[in-house]
Formats: sequence, C-alpha cells, structure tokens
Amino acid sequence: MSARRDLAAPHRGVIAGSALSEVGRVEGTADQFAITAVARALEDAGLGLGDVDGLIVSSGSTGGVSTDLALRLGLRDLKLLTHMQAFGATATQMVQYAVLAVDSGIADTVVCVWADDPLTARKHGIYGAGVRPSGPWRAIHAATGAVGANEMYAIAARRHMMRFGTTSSQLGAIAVAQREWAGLNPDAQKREPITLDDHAASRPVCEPLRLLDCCLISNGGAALVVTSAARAHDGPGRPIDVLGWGQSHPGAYLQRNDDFGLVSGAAASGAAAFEMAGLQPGGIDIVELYDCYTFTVLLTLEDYGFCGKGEGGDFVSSGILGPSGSLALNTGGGQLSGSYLWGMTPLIEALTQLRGAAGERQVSRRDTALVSGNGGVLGHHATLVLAGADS
Amino acid sequence: MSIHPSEEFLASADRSVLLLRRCEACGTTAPPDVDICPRCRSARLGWAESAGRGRLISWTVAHPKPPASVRILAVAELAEGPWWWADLEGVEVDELREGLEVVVGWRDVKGIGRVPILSAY
Repeated sequence: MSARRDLAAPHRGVIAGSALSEVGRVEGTADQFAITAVARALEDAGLGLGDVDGLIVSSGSTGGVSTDLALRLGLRDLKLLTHMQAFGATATQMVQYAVLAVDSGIADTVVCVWADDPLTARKHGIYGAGVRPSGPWRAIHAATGAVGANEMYAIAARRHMMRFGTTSSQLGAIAVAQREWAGLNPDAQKREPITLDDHAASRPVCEPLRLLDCCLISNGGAALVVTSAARAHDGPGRPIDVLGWGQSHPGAYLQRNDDFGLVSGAAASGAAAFEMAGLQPGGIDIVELYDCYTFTVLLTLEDYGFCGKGEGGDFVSSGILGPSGSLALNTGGGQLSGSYLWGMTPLIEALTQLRGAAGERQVSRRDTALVSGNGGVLGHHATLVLAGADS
Repeated sequence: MSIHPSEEFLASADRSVLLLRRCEACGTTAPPDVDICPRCRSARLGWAESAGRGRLISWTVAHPKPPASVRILAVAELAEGPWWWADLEGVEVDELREGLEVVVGWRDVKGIGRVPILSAY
C-alpha cells in the first residue's frame, strides 16, 4: 500500500520557493549561510519571516546549524521546530516531513534549511562537534580502520565491478557528462571540460575511485519554503507538488549486507515514490541524483530502474548523459562539478529546473523531476517525485 | 560489572579473541555490536568466540596524502557468518582477490586497547 495524498486539496503542502546562499569556496560560517538562504527562499516564495510558523534545520559536517537558528531569525511561537540528521538523505526527507506538516495543519508555512562550512573549519582550525555518530562501537570500528567515506564507497564500487564487470572508464563517463553540464552553470565550482583520459589520469584516492570520481568540498547553505497550495498559488513562482516519496534505510552499516555495493536503498525508496506518483522512470523529465561519487549515480540509476541491474556501466557510457544526451541528469554539474551541499544539491537544482530558472542549462521539458537523497555509506535513502503544481 | 557490552568485547580482544554475539533464543550468530538478535528480536544475547578466519568480500587500496602510507581497508566474511570490516595487513596488493582466505589479526591502539583487524592467512 503506497502513501496517499489529495493532490487537489488547496491546503496541501507544496514547495513555494527555494534558494542558495553564496556557495563554493566562499568565506562564511554555516549559520550565516543558513540565514542568507532562508531570506532568499522566502523572497523567492513571495513570503516573509512573519509568515513562518515551522522550521526544520539540518547541519552539515561541522554541526554549525541547530535549532538555535530560530533565535537568530527572531522566530517566536513556532508550531514546529526540529533538527534532523540523516546525512545526504536529509534534504529529501525534510521536504517529506514539511509537506506532511502542512497537509495535516500543524503548521502553515515550514522553512527547511541546511548549511555547512567545511572550508572555514579547515582554514581556521575550528573543529565543531560535528554530526558523525559516536559511542564506544564507533570508536572501536575507527580504531580498526573501518572508517572513511572514500574507503567505504570504493569497497562498494569494487564489489559492483567484480560482480557485473563495471569499469572505471564507465564511471568516468558520468564525471565527463556532469562536467559538461557544469560548464553551462555559472555557479559551478568546476567548469573546465574534462575527458575520459583526464578521468583515467586523475590520482587514485581509494582504488577503484579516482579524484574525478569524488565530489567537491563546498561552503554554503540552501533553504526551501513549504506552504499550502492555496497560499503558494498567489506567489511569484511556480509551486511544486510532491507526487511521490519514499525512504529506505538498509540498516547494515559495518555489519553483513549481501546487497552492499550491488543494490542500495534507492531500489525500495524509488519503487515507493514511483508507485505513489503513478510514474515510471521514462515519465521523468529531470533527474537529479545524489552523486557523492560517480559510482553512487550508477548504482542509483540501476536501482531506480533506468536500466537493468548490473547494466549501469553500459547505460552511462552509451551517450545518453550530458547536455546533448536524452537523459537530463545532474544538470547543474551535481556534487561532482557543481557544488557539494549534501542532499540540497540535487533538490535545489530540480526545483530550479522545474521553475524554468536554470538559464543556459535549462531543460526544455520541465514538468516532472526525480530527486534522490543518499546518506552515510549507502545507508539512508529517500526519493521525491516532483511536478509543477499547476492547480 | 561492565556498563556497556563493548567492555566485554575489548576485554576479550585483550586476550586476542574476537567475540561475536550468539542468540540464546534462536542460535543465530550476530556481530558484536548488536543488542537485539537481528533474526528473532530476542534480547537474550550471549557471547561466542570467533574462530578468527574468513574470506575477503571486497577491499580498497587507500592512498592518503603523503607522508601517510598506502593502506588496505577490507571486509571479510567470517566463517561464523558475520562480516568484519578492518585494515588488512600482511597481504600484497597483487594478492588481493574475492574469496581470499584471511585471519583476524590484532592491533594495539592508544586510548582503546587491542582491537581486531584482518591479516594474511
């Protein structure tokens, strides 16, 4: 039984606005990026802080955003306030919970915001509490060496390669295509074109993953505003409906997972979202997938059903990707070449494209979008199917 | 009286023995870091000593920034069923293959004590 919502109800939650702060190799702290993003998102929605009665916040690697943001923003008497953390799956989940909140009437206008400042922490030697889970077992695992996202994703990628024959060059096709999209994005951190040879020559980070298989590091923040369809209808931008959603958390990190590297949570969360939306991959105009690594994209494409299991390598190297291909995937360059704002990278790009605000990289068919959120080491997955709320 | 199961795990590691969990209700062998049986949901979990042998599932050769040297992080399926994720020592990069036999090795870590890693057979 899939989740159900009334997509004709005027009180239903829709996304009315979204925005980024300055992003990339920019100076600043997470809370300041968050404040900027919130202000811009509200302006995008045609609303003000006085309209906000719900706030969901999430922190990046330095733990720099907390429920204290409500104090910074001068928000009083909120009806909903929480900090969430499911890492890269959080942004997608925030939308789910904010829409549910407005659907149910617990709040009218919920702002969701995420921000991070890893470059600032690195430069000034500030090491915040961070957001990584802790405790005795985590300490033991770290002492054995079982730690490190690059390492863990590389282990996953190798498993896929051994089972299905996926090659590093096929991963390179993803990197090359996304860099082409980034070339059309004035806000992307990496815009110079790369070739498959460049990918093959980039230094090994954790074999089989190379530097050009890995995402960027970015400072910045992102926010979005969820309010009722009735209220959003009077706003300046095209409101966005959530047609379908899902979550899946395999729950086997550092334990036994026979699917590790072969099938991720995207399979279940995608199936739930597609069923709820009544759509198939072929019905999606814009595809924005969490791409902490090229491999994550390949695995997610398989799990979402864009191609068969194990066929991701052939699929991504078929010419279907990139601005001249038929699959509009990670159209801002993604986390690999655009900017790494965790789950906000694919989500904000999807909203930008759906609204027709993507400038030179605008995809012409922009009625439906698919967004993936992936957190931890393939441990947390959430999917959204979005569409213009034209009623 | 220990206040956390990891203390018993580490006490056994000090004697170079890897402890796994054994469910007293259904007999399942589970990894050490669970408190509820993943198969039958019982909270009656005891400890069982691992024979300390396994086979490689996957690995990575990690190239940190110099001066740190290359390391191999691997995951092995223990003979008892659970997987153990740890640095793999004593194996050359060109010997690495799926199914390679490995054993549980030991590393002394300041502030924690002895912990189980993976080692050449």
